[in-house]
Amino acid sequence: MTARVAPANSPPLGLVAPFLLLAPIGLIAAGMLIATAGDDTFAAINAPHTVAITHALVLGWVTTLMMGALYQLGAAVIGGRLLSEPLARAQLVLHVCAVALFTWAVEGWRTDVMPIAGSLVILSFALFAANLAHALLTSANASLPRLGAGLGISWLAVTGGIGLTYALAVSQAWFPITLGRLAAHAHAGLAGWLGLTLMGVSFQLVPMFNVAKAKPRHGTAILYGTAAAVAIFALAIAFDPPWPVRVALALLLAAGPSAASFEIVRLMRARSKRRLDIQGRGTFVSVSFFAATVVLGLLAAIGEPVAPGGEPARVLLAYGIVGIGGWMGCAMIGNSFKILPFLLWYHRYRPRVGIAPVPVVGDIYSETVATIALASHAFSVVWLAVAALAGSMVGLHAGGVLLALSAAVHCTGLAHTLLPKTSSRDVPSRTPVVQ
Amino acid sequence: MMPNPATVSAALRHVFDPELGIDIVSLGLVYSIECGPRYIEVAMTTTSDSCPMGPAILQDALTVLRRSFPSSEIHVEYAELPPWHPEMLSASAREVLGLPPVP
Repeated sequence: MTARVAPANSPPLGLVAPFLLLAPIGLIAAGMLIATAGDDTFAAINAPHTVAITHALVLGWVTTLMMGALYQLGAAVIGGRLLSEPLARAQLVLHVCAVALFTWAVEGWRTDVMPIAGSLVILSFALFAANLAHALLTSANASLPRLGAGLGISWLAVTGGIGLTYALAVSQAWFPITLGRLAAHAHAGLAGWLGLTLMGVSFQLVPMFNVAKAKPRHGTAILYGTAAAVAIFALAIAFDPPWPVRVALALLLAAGPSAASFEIVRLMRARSKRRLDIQGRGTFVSVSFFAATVVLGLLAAIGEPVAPGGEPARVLLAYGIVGIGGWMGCAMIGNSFKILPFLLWYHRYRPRVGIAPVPVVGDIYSETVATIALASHAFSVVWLAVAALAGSMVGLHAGGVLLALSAAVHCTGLAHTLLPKTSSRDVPSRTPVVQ
Repeated sequence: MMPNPATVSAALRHVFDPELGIDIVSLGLVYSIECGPRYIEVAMTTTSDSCPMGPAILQDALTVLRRSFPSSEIHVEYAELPPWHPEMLSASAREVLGLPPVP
């Protein structure tokens, strides 16, 4: 017999870990911005401070996490090769600086700086997309994560292009950024870039981590359908249609992720690993938040964009918080406690297999800290959504502090994985194998 | 040490699925062990055909056997069939995963 032993493919720890460890700082910044929000927050969703919070959340936190995760998964799960590891490291430095500058420029509505900072963000996107596209193109496997990531980075390019155009439009007074146009940009990012990538990756990671023998039944159709729905939604909502059309568009947009959520729940129900770990809990919490996102999104679609009382702005705010922080955030937090420990196990501990007892993934991260990070984050999101709906500025400020604290716990939990660990396995693994 | 199915199986219990924290023998991933005085042939699988750690686990099995039986020629083959199923889990593995015991 011939051994079919192919070398596994995994990027260096030093490439992926900084993305995951720096991302919570984006959430801390967003939390601090929420904690200092002014009275205009409930009046209009497009107030400068609110737009700055949104970009700190989406670009500083979720996108940084997603980029780090995809650099890892592009090689390890999708099976391709990155174009250049040094380029990925340089991209992180550029990304952090560009997002910080852009968020600062938006918060102060510095229209002269916004296009420059936006261009730097676009450059970061381009470097990331080039690196990941190489991994997707060099992969021999036509998998759902590959399709989801491919569609996702396509929408990242579109979202970035729209965003830069808007920054220039504000700077040069080309055209007004209506709420419909803002919604087109926001949903291209949330449902297109982040949603498609998360769905595609989850279709493989969820059954894999939870040892489910079931497979997604309609994964390809869901991903292509969602990509098409995002395109229709973005094109139509940009014209600020009346509320019945907005509701129809919202239902269309929600169809794909809803079907994906049903698939994910079905896969989780078929799992052999009955005890939920942090990834499983994060998945269930994320799906629950997605359901809340749909409800709030429909309510937001029914309401007038900005009513004199400011009520729809509060619904929109709650919708954004639950969609970004709950649906995306909880899934990303759960997965981050698998991605980093796996990478650590592969590079630090695996070379010692057979020589000495080595820790497994569950030994590398603290389940308690991970659970506290997820629970405190989910609580913060619920708190913020309720505060937004109730129009409580004090509640919003307190929620911002809670969110920042939960991000600090997440960051601490990830940093803790880097400390040396020992095996918790029982005999015989404690006995060296070598005779 | 002379290889035989028992000693080879004992050595393979030092190879863990890093995600589940269970050794590959208890997981039911080792399908067959054939031994002679100077050779060892192992057929094994993975819990999922899309598991990115699959090749690494097979490599780890090979590494452990080479260290345990340095004078033997060793082959570790990936067996696609039959696909792994939870019913192949040992009683202890089922307990770790939280599955009820097989009646």
